[in-house]
Amino acid sequence: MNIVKLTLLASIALTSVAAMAQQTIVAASPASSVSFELYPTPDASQSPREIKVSEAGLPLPVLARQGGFLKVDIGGQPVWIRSAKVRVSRTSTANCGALASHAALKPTASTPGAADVACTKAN
Amino acid sequence: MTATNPAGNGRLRVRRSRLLCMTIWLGLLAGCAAVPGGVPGLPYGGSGAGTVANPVGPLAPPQARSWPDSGQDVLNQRARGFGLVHAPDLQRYLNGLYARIKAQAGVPGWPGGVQIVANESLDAYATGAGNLYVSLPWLTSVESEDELVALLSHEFGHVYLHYHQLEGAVQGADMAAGTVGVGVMLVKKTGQIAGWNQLDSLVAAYALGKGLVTTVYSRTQESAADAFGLNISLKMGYSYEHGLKAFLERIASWEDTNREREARRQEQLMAAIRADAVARAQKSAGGGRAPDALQLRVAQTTGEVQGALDATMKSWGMKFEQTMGKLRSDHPDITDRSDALAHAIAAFPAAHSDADPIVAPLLAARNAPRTAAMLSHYELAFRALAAPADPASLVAAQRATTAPTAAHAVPLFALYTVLGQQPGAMKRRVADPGKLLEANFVSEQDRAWKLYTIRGMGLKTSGSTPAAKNVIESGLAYFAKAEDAWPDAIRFYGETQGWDEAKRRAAECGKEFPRASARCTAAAASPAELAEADRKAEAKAENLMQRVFKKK
Repeated sequence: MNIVKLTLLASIALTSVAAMAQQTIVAASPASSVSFELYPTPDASQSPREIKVSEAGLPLPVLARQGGFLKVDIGGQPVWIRSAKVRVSRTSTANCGALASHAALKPTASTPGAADVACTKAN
Repeated sequence: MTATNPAGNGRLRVRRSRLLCMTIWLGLLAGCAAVPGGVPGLPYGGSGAGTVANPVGPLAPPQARSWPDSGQDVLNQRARGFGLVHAPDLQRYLNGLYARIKAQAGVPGWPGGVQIVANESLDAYATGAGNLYVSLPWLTSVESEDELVALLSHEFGHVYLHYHQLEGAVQGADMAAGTVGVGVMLVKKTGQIAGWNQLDSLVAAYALGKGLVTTVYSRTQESAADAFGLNISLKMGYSYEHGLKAFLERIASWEDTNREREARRQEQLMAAIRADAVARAQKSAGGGRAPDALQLRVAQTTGEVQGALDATMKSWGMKFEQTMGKLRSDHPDITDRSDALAHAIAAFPAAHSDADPIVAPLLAARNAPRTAAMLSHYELAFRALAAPADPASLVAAQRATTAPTAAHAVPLFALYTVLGQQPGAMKRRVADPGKLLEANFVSEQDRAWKLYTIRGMGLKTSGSTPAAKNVIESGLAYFAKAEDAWPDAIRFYGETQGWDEAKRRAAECGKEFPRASARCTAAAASPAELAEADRKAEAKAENLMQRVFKKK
């Protein structure tokens, strides 16, 4: 395997790892929530302290995960938030590239799909 | 398992009446009176994000139904786009999960399997035959088995809840849209002259019928399928946080990215359209002629029209830009969907879990040698297609067309495309890059109709019509039972054997596949017939446009 091939494969592997790493908390869940509960450790039996969503400094990069908790840094302090109480931005390997326009799909007898057919709409 | 609260119902009724008013208004604007009928009576869900009563309650028994042939359904999907990815190891894993989902729902004997769509967008859907179709990026993006099961359970929800009754409605809407071609021409006409891009979008999406009828209907489905997916996945022991929640968050992020790109595109388009309209009006005035009244009016009123629409929307409590995006969507706002589940989980602490995600089986499936090679080859092919003139793309595409994807449609198409851009790049010059595509035709599992059409049209363009005919004939022999293959083939027959032959084939298609009849008939229209239809529609569009402007 030559260097070019190795570089290509390595870059693919790095992209996949990066996709997993780049997660941020972007909102409360449900969106109507006005406060976050912050835990000192990822343990629901501990008493949390509350802060207003507007004071949390969103978006917050996710530093670590443990069970149903996410570790973030708020005001220079590492704290844990229940994953169920926040909305997280998640990357994907998808894109509306050249293939999407070549493969513009006709109507078919199926359900609309899990998400909007964003590529055909945009192209 | 969905229920709507009484207070919400009142609000939803108001919203529905607003939608109805808008449809009538836009319908009148476009001269469109036809509205598709035959929509089955499913519970109306309005915005589509109702309250989930009990996330782990018992499921309602499924409706009895007749099953379309599963194998034929798969063949038809292989005739769409670039077909499917034959990945036996990965599919074994996916079908294992699907079997557990069916068993949990109490229908272990139902037909259908999981198929992988050869597409680089985030796409998943289900068909009435019980098959679930998932695009490659879903399989490489999900972070846990919880999320994958959530995706599959959601899609299976459409099957279990028998939402393929929608097919009849979609069909009716498609046919209705076909009968109001004048509306389409109005859109085209305004696009050519002033590009009322936003008006275009509204008219195209809603006034032609399909937009509203199937949108409202589809939104109800999506939220019910979310609730179903949550129910099944929780009962199977998967978590909400790592499962349904992560699944919806990934969709939200994907849609945000595409919405931003679309907004940029719309802004650029509108700026260009305005500048063009003003320039044309000024040019006609500067040339000593009276300004083209229509052009000038358009240039002056592009903003007015938008303003009027905006005011109308505001009178209904809607913001124009938001309404544009949301109403065109088949899906309820993703935040509404997420919130419905978040409320449901909050009310049932038993459904709350602090468990770690289940990752090992997913990683094992993805990292199995043959699967890992396939996934990396598709990634290389997508990269090559994104930059076919890049010298690195030749290496990527060549690598992608080695085992186990040597006969797969997407990698072959990537290499074909790169060689088209870099004809002298290979050590041994390839006389006919199109011949590379034929590797796909000898593979029983990997054949894609798309490659037959690309190869056939390539040969025809280069003057090798008999060879082109052979390619299309052999492709159609394989895909004869796939309705999606027929319109392309009919047009090819028209161009090579005359339009009478195309019409004979279209009649055959309509008889065999009533659902594809309109598309087959359209494909058999000769250039002269199309030109005449265009001429008549444009005349009507011109007339309608004059009426619209006179009203102002």
